[in-house]
Amino acid sequence: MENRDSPKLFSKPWLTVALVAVLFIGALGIRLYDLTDLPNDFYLVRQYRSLLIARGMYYAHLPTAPEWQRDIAVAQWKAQGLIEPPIMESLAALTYHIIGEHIWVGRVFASLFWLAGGLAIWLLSKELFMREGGIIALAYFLFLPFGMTASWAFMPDSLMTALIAWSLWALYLWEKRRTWKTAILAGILTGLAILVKSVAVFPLLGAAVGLVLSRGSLKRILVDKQTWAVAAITAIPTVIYYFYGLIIVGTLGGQFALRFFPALLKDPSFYGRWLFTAAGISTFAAMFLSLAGILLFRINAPRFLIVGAWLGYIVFGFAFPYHFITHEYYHLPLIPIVAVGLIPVADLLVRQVALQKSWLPRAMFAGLLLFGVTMKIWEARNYMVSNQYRHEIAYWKELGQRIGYDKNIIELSGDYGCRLAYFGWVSGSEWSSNADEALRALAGQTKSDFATTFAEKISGKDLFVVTSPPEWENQPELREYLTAHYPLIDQGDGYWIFDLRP
Amino acid sequence: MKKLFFRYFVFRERPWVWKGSLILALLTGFGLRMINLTNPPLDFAPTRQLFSALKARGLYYQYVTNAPAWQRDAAISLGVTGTIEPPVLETIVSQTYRLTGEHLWIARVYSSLFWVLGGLALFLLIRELASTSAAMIGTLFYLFVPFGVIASRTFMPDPLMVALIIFALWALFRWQNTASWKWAILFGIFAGAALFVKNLSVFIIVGGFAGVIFGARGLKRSIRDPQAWVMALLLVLPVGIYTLYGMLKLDMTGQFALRFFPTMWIDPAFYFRWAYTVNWNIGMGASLLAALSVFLADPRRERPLLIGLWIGYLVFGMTFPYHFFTHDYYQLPFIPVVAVSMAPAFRLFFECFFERSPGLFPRLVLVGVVLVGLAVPSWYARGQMVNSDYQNEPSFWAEIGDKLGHGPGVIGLTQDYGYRLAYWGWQGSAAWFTSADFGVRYLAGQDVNIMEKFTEDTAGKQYFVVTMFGELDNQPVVKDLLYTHYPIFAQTDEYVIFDLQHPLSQP
Repeated sequence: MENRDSPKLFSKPWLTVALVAVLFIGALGIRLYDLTDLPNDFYLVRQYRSLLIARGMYYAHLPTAPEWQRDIAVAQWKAQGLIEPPIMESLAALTYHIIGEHIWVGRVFASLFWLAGGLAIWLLSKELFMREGGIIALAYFLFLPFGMTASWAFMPDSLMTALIAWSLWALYLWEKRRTWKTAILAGILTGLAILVKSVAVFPLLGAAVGLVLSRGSLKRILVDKQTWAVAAITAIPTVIYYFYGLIIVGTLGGQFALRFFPALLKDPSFYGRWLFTAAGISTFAAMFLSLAGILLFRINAPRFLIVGAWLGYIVFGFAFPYHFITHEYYHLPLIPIVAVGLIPVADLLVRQVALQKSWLPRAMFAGLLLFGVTMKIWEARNYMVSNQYRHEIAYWKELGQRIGYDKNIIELSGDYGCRLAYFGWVSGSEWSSNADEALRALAGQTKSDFATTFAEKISGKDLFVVTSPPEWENQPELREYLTAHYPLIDQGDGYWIFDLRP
Repeated sequence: MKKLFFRYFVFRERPWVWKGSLILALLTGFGLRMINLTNPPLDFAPTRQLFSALKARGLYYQYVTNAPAWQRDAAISLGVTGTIEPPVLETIVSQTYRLTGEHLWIARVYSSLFWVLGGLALFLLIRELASTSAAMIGTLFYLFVPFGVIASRTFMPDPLMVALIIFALWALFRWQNTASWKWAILFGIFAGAALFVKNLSVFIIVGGFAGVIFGARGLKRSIRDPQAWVMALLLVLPVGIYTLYGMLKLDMTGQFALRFFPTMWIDPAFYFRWAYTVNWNIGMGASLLAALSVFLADPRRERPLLIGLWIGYLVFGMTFPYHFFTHDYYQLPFIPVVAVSMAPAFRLFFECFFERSPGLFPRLVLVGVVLVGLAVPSWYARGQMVNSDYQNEPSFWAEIGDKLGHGPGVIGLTQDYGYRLAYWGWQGSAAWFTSADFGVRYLAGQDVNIMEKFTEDTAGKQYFVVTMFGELDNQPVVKDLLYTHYPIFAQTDEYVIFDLQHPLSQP
């Protein structure tokens, strides 16, 4: 157990609470800034997928919507493959029923979930009797630049990250108290995290195994009923969901395609890129202070918990090597892990400040903390101000009208057609981008000849719509073929429409 | 057996362990800076580096007897590039050229060597201030922070200045703790040399000195202490003499123009930009840790020096608000300040670590974490050094120089105020203002009439050479003047030379 009788940063507890409250208010404030802008700044395909699902759910029960619009919205929802249970999307759809459809609703939910994750970090530091260090860990979790950007994205990842933090708290709470109540709580929260996004299993399984192993005796572990109960409660929601997805609906299996690239594991540059991505996302200094911080825990339980989470994260990287170096948000589970690792280092430093008799060091600590936070808020604000996307709505709306909602199209887009679908109400099939082709080549799939692929893909289509100038530029074979064989019926800023009808 | 070896030899606080580690770190730091050694020095502050390169070549050609007369004359005249600081590094490099021939990378070697030697002094300073383990971490930070790696291998006086600052601070702290004449005089020599090499070191050095005088030793005691007076005298003597000489003989007064912009103090954006620059170059985490760590230092023995250094740095920034975020290398002296300031925090960390994690395994883990922690910034710095390739620049500028004929009468809108053209093209040119130059004058409240300036600057000139087309686009008046009124003497996709002697029409 950590030391309970150490000096406090502020003699009056309300000052600490006030400081924490200021952090939460600042964190919420920056996440709500520029709220109504489009979610194009961070993995827009993934966010528009959630927007389309939420809108489809909403329109399915919206009797006032025109029939064509309802049909399209629902069809666009159903066209999104099953990946995770649409929890965020359902919440957004329910909210739409109350306040109407607003693109920012998902962002508000994601932001609130992230803030709730911060609360878990804070509570964990209290359980560790390292509340002073928890202030810095909390500030790190709430104001890390990548975390800020990722945390307002309409994706399940914000909720998953928050639940990972809550799960780490619950697992440690269970280890400390060893009551049935805490065991069930740990099982529920861990199970929920994995249900929200199954990749949470890696760090959480690692953390749980680490925690249990910290007890030492394998025999004791195996005969412990609570341990088995936690494992069962954790597994049940995900098992049910996978049974539903794989057996009943049968579409979940597609999610496992193009995910495993063991060949990358033999490439030394993969490890370099991994390390750089992880250090870039979690920030270099924090990552290494956090790793060093693990060595400062006085007892094994938190140390093994975090070491296990780290090992789980590493296994995660080995399981998804391609996504680990191309999809930054795959590293999000690292943020709560690093935050918890920071707690003992920060606690050591802050308590040493608290030992000083003068008020000046404490004031300086609070000032430095708020200065650092303000800097991060300012950077985030500048980023948002300089990246505006609202003007795109009119563009995609107009393009949708030009194409016509009833047309059957194939599209070459840089975003899988998600913006045209969402704002233009036009969906179609996708012509593979260069990146898709590269991914298939990496997976060892051979490319069929152009004419066959083209004939197959345009079969039954009315129009070929190109909405990505870079793709158009980089696919000369397609460009030449379309230009030579089909009439260009419309062309504008960044789009080309070819008539495929005979 | 292996376990015993590790436990009882490697990880005990044996002098040879840290000595060996330190030597290895210094050698690795030096080796890292030797990557892509022969790359032209355009990867960091190219104007400043070429300024020194031209000066060194000018000094060297004074001794070269086998060069064509025109080349010798050009080298010497192009080497007269104005006086900022005394050409200490340039003189050392030019004297080395006499032994090895002219190679720009020689300056990289010297600068890197100075920086790494500064690491040795830093280690000794932090060891005296905190502990051996903290000293090792602080030195590793100083040696491997990517910005420091890139900036410390440049042909500029700054790496030498920073190294001398650190030696001076080490001597200062030794003097604080011993009150001996030896350290007082050494401080005076190192500090005086630092100020002589580049007078901007005054802020950090005087900050540290004032911190020790006011906080550790006391003003009354110091006033009566002849050692303190000797230190102050040695500190100011070389730079004082040089500045006086420069003002009277070298026309150095121009160096003080367009440097002070106190109006920026009331602009909040200045402070955010400052913090952003620190974040980008040194790291917000390290800087905040260093600032917090000052309050973990011993209030009488350690804190005065650290507070003095921070105040010196802040005054430095307030004095040069514009340059502080437009000239990255102004942040170089902050690297050792951060490294020293972090020491109390790392001392605390190691005390706690040794207490809570005894045994071999945790130490091995910690060594692993530190090594990975070094590998990431080192690899990042290496990537920057390898990816910035300027090997094609010399031939490009040589071609333009040949076209222009190496004679007088050239004005240009070319990179680095014409220094690239001067160095590789052997062609002097007057530099036409960039939009940033106009901007800084507007900021200083000056009004510049572009037409009048164009007429004045091109009077008597034969050619106007442009290699910065983006910059020309930013100056539509000048672009229009040139293309409308002057014939093109030569052009490719990368440059255009206008003939000013035969205008198509009067502008």
